[in-house]
Amino acid sequence: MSATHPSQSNQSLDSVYATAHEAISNAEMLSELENLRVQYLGKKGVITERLKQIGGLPATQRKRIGLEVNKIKSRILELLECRRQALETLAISSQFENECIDVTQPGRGQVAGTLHPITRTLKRMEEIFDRLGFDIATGPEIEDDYHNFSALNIPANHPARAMHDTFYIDDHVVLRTHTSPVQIRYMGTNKPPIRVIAPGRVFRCDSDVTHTPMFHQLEGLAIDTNINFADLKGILIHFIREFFEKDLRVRFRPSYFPFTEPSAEVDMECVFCESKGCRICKQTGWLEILGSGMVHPEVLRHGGIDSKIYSGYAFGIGVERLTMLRYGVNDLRLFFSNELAFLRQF
Amino acid sequence: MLISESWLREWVSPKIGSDQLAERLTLAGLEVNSVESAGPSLDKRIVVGQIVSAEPHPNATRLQICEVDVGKSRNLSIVCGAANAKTGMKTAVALAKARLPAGQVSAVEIPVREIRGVKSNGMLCSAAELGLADSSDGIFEFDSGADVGRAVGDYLDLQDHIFQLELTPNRGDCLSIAGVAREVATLTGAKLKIPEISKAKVVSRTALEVQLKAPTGCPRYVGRAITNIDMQAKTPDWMVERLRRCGMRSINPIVDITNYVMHELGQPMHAFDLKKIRGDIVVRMAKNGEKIKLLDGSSVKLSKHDLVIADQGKAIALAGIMGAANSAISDKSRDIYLESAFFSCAVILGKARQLGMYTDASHRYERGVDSQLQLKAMERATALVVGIAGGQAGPVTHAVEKSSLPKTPEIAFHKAEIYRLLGITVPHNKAASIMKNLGMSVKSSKIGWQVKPPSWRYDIQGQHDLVEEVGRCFGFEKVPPRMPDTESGIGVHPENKLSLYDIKQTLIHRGYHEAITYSFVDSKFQQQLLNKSDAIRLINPIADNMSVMRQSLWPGLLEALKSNLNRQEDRVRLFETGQVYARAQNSRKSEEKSRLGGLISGISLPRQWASQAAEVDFFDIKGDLEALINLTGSMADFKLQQARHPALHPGQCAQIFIGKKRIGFVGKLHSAHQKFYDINQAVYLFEIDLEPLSSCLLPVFLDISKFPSIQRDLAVLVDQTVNVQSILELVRSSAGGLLKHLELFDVYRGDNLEKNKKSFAFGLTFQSESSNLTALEVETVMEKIVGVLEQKMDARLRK
Repeated sequence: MSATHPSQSNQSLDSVYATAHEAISNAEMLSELENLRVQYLGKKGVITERLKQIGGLPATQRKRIGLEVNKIKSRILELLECRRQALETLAISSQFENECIDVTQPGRGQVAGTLHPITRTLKRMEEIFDRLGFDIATGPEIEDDYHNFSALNIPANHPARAMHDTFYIDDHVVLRTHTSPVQIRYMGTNKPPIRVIAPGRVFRCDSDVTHTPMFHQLEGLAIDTNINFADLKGILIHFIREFFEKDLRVRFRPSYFPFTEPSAEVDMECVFCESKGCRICKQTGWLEILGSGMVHPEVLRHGGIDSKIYSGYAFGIGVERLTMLRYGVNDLRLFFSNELAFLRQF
Repeated sequence: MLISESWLREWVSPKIGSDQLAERLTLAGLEVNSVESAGPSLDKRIVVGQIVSAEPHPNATRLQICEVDVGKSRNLSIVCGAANAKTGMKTAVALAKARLPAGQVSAVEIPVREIRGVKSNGMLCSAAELGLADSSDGIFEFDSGADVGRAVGDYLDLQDHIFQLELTPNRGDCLSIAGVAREVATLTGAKLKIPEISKAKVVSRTALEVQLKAPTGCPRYVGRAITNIDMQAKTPDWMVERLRRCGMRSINPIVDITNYVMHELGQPMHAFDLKKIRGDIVVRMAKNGEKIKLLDGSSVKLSKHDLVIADQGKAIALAGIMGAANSAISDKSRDIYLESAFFSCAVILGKARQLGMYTDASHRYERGVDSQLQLKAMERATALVVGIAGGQAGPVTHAVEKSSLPKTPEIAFHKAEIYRLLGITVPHNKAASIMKNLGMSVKSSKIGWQVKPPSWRYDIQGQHDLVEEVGRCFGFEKVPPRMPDTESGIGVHPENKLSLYDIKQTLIHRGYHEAITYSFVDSKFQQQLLNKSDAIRLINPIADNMSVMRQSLWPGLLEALKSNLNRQEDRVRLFETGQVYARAQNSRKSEEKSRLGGLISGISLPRQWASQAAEVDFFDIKGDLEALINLTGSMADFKLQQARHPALHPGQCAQIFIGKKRIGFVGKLHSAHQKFYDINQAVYLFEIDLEPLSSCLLPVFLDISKFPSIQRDLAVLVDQTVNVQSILELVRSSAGGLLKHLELFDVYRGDNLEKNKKSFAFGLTFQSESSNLTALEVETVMEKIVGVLEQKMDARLRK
């Protein structure tokens, strides 16, 4: 505050304004500003007093002095408003400064887990086949030997049974060695046209670096009039290319499965070396990924379907194998280790 | 099966290289797994040499100084430590500077050096030293006819390739050079050169009668005695090499010949010591309990389902699998009896597996041997025996029961079947020539062809089999892929079907990882955890700790938790979906149920700066369950009821209900089990049936009230034993329709409360759809609620 008291009526208006200007400009707080407003413009304020005195002035001066005082009043009002805004802006920015945070600190809360890679692959497979019009079916994992073998044209003592390393519950009950028994069950309850996939766990009594006693397959079955090997090729080539999102070369190699005739193993171009030959494809440039064929008439018969009218194709895909190829997993056993260090990667 | 390419090319030699030949076979269904060199590529300076003289080394008892003729003007003097080195013998000589194959003991240049004071100008080599055997006694002993001076690599034809064929079980006919040659001829159009086999001259009258007493099992038995053979004769080098390439070791000339004929023609043969056979041959079923000691030394107890070859007193062979020790040939044998028999698949099938004795013979008989091959094989073997070991061949005894020989079907093959199954048309003549080349008799007919498969193709029974033959030889690659009609591809997806992936995703967002554990678990652990002993047991588990089918997902999840804790992962959240298995009541059948199980352990949120680390408790896992139930839209029906479970803490265990349906359990792992698994932190588990989560209610819109709501808090003091569920239900039922929302926001137990009392605080929201609620209306409802709580729960209002 200035040393000279501003109410002194002998002061010139200019010096009153100059004093007010200095005081207002120096005000640091809104409360200080309010005091200044009262001091100049309040009921007993310096300017208010000057306005009151105007009535006692000679008429010749009244208008001029009145205009001057009012001009000073509005200039002081302007100064006050201006300063108030400046102080408010200052206050907000200092509040902001105080509230400033480190945006790089991590967010709060739960960290999401992961879908098992096998499920991830199965989901993708199911989606692809869904778009191709396939339904999903399931069947029991504990099967009788009729559905797992006999109905699939694998009679007792057939060398193909020995290839399966079956887990037995008793002489006639097994853990299914493949998802193919679902074919028989599905044919039993559905009439052609049939277009179905059956994903699930299967079991074989074998355990080493490249075998686990449990793994997953996805079975496919399509039966209708006018279904042939060309359809099988079409659907599987499409599946492989869509799954790997690459225009891979695919070949159908004649093979043998008791439940299909003709039968074919399906190989695709090695995704790791583009068929140049590497460790994964054993230098052949090809990766064997699934078995397929035209459903054997005996199997259709067991499913109650007339093989003279209908024909169909079937295929079985190893889910672990596809997952390993898709994500580069190099050890089958990891899938069932349930190590978080592994699971977190998917 | 291993096939020597040069042997194969003696039968059929298409003008394509080894790799192309292998690929052609693979693409026709005879998968060639690998093509390997028949032997190391030997240094040309390793040659055939003949030891002209062998003298003892003057300074070493075990060494000899051999003068060796290597076809040069001067003989070489070589010091040799092999005991079998002797004058006249032809052997492999590594000349000075020759390099032995890498990986062998002395993969170095052969120096000219002094050995104990005598200069040695090379080295006499064994098969092992040349990389042709794993071990050998002494140096090579080549045939007397071997060309001195010729490179050993050329002499043994080591540039040859070995094809490793992975044959499918239906192609027993390709378990021989002859069979594979037939395929190659069909596939490439190259001419098949079948070596001529002439009948041996019968110069002895020695013969045995053969009686077929089990003609279904053995409808044809061909036998022949050959007397006065020389067992000391040496199997010729070419045969030893061919056998080696098929993966067989040379034993003695007779065994080698039977093996050779088997690999060449596909007919398993056996040789008995004639002197050890008493009387005539009888092919019969064994008697129950009859014993036989086999060539490999094992004793087998037989049953009436086993076919044996016997003489007048005893069984002398287990048909199609192995001969007996009592009639085996030995170094001292002079007279032998050769067997070339046809045993039916049916009588051999499964026997090898049952006895754990897989032999080359059983492998072929199980897959089917050509029933017309026996006489031919006998003549081939006879010629080889007489040529190599001398002896006088007796007449062939050919016992046959024609009516029991396998019948080949006559197949009416409709041309249209080819297109119907393959989606491609194969020219008429092409299809016919494929079938003919494969040995079928093919006659054109009105509909297509009348086809009779050859006696070696048991796998061809109907038209579909012929379609495959035509298709695979014509080439599957010629079938154009076809995509399904788009209209067939419309799936139905009802909105009220809850996908398993949605369920899984909910848990994943709450920090769970999905596990997949084995369906079989440790019997003891499961029994202890569930206090149940009726699990389904495997007859042949892969390991003791995987012997029973799981009855719950918990044993597997706990194992997974345990192994993660052992790997310093102390915050674990896992779930799994899958089947659990139980025996059906009063039946031998099994029942499977799809379940979802989960567990949490460690702190509730991952360690972070922004929230305090707190160990998980019951309400963490209950929150997860609520999130799951919320998916179904049945949250109002979700309830927990205090319960007991052998795996869980008796005070922190509940049964889960949706409406009146019990769907599972949730709770804290019992301390006893925690101790058993050696886990030092609390574990919470849940397991529910998946079926109730398979569908959800669709949303039903209700009008949104335009009038303001009024909120009130209510705090009541009740007995410790009162559960909040019962109070919530009372508040809801007494409040009526104006109560729109009710929440429990505080539970308090403390010293400043009366003993055995606790306090619940609720937030209530009231709203009307039709008017502005007044304070008075709300007070009336509040009073009513308090009145009911006081009356029914002995509750007191806290002010």
